[in-house]
Amino acid sequence: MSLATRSLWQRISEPKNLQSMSPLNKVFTYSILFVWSFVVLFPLYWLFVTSFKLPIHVSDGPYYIPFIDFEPSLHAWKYIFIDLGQDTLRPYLNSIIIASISTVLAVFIGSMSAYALTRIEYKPKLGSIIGFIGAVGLVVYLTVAIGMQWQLSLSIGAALFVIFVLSFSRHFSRTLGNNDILFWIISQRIMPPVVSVLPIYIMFQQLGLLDTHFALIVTYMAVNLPIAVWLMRDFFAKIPVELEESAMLDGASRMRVFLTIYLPLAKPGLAATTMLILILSWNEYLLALFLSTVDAQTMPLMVAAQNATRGPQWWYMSVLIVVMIIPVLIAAGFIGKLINKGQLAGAVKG
Amino acid sequence: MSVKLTGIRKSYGSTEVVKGVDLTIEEGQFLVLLGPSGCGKTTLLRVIAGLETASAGEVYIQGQEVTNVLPKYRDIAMVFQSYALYPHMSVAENIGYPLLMRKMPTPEREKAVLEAAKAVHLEDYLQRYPKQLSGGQRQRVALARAMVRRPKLFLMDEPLSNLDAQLRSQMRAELKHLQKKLAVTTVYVTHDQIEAMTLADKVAVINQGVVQQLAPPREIYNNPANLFVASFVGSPQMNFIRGAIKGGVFRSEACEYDCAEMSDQAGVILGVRPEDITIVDAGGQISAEIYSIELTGDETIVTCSIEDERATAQIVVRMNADFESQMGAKVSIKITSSRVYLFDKHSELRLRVGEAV
Ligand SMILES: Nc1ncnc2c1ncn2[C@@H]1O[C@H](COP(=O)(O)OP(=O)(O)OP(=O)(O)O)[C@@H](O)[C@H]1O
Ligand SMILES: [Mg+2]
Repeated sequence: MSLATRSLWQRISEPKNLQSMSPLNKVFTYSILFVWSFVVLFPLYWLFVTSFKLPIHVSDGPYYIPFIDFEPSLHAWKYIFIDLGQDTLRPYLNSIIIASISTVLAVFIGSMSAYALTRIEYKPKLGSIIGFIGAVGLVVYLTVAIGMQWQLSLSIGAALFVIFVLSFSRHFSRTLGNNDILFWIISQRIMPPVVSVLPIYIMFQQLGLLDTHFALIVTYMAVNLPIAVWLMRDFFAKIPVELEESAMLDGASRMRVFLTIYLPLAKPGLAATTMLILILSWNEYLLALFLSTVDAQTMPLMVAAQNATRGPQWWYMSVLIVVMIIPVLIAAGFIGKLINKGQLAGAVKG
Repeated sequence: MSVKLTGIRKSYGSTEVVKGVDLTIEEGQFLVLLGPSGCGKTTLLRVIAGLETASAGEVYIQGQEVTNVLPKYRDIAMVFQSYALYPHMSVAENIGYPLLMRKMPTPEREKAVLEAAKAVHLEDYLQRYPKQLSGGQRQRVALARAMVRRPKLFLMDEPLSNLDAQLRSQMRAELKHLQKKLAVTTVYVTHDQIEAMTLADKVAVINQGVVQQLAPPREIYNNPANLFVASFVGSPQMNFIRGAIKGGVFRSEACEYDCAEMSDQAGVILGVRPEDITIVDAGGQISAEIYSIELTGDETIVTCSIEDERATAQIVVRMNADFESQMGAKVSIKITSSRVYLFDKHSELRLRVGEAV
């Protein structure tokens, strides 16, 4: 039984060559590819034609083929680009600025932490961590519940923490390792964003930074960091450690090693990570909904806004989404070029 | 730059790989670490480079303790056993990397790179990438990258292991010349004893993380300190016969050898090199039977079997190319030199110092 399933699995998963396939097999393969292409491409097609439909075509529909089923109209395009004009351009630019900057930051900082977690061994003391959490709890309690001045409670907390570390913590000799740190970082992402969106909102409100690029860039960077760390760590772990050692003997600092050896060698990983995070930031809705209103509004909000008092305006949404897809396609074209295989060939023996 | 190691120990988990090594390498000296695979040569080299922190002991470079100094600040160039080339850089960029890190201006750097590439016969490959090179070529790139920057100390981990015989002897000569010319202190790891003999000013024979003997190559060959050194150095290997000394004579089943000055002792191993014995018609000290005859070109390697205290042992004799005999012939083997070594079977230490030099 298990043998049979394995061989079936092998037959399915082994690489196939269209040239050497039997005709029946070829028909089967092409049908599956065709069906799947249809599933993937039809929504895009639908989006595209809908952007040229009048409201009547949508409500009377479905109409599939322009010029045959219905007479295409540019009214939606005109509304979005001429009537709205600046109001479209602003969120568009906002999205480009926020997504690109936050992605670059997240990938760069995430790569650095991933490098550190692969090549440097950390041994945080469990006792110190618990002590720190306790001290923070105490500070919050003193400030909020007792009403102490925050400067005072902070000093008390810091002092107690130092005393704790210097005296008691050696009794808690258990240490954590890099994998624990990594798990902690990833756990930030396991938590649904809804949980943290209110605190984040209040934080930026207190700082007076609501509806700014800064707030969104920082937040997007923070929520995407765990993904960058997690993905990049795998790519860095594959780079032979001798390369780093050799570079260090050649006189490179850690930063130089990271910039001249690790980043170039992890290019495919960087490309994939950048693409993923870029798309996540580009399409992000929930945080943008809370943190921006007008000035920093992004495209997903703009799309959602078309479902306003008059009901869903499918034709306007379609135009906006078509426009939204274009930069992502361009970015994918550029970034995809970076992905070439065999980066590590020839580095070390065998 | 002189290097001194005192009481270096290194453990991985509970296994101790280097067990208390003391070594002094004088300025400009060429020291070879020679030992079988897995004896801790690479580990020792990495400790000197600062890539590995010793579990105990200190490293001194130029009289200064550097045990906890980062590799970057030790001004050491190392050739890794696995080459460690930067795969995304061309050969020229690989060789030039240490100079780039030292902010050498481009024209000078290019000149130095070309010079180093010429020394390893790679000047036609400067624009290639490591993956487009053969193993031997990669190794030479690694060598050039180490040589290019005139460091104070060279560490080389089997830098010639992947070269063919001809290129290897060529590179050996090149290395020796360069090392003497630049007078760079060098620590060279190998398990090839010819390399050790030809290159070294001093050889440290290592086994299981312990230095067995530290001496010039000739001394290692002529005066091995113990059974391990005696058996590891020399090819074909030294012959060993188990027996005992009684009344000034070493005796075993097949052998009798006068050693008048020695006191009685059981459990003795007699060692003699293949070139110090010869096959005679009669009157030799060892009686044997011919097992195989191999003609290598300029000499004949004759393997004979003898009766040992436990089983049959083999004795290898180097004879002239014109030696002729047949398998199974009973022969007598005569010891023609005073280079006869006696070892204690249990401590494996030398009992008597050989007379010849
Ligand atoms: N990182 C490590 N963790 C655990 N054991 C190690 C580690 N590095 C080396 N060892 C062990 O230490 C011993 C010595 O290793 P080392 O690489 O120094 O040997 P070597 O003398 O260079 O051998 P070779 O001639 O094969 O290169 C080996 O038994 C090896 O298995
Ligand atoms: Mg080694």
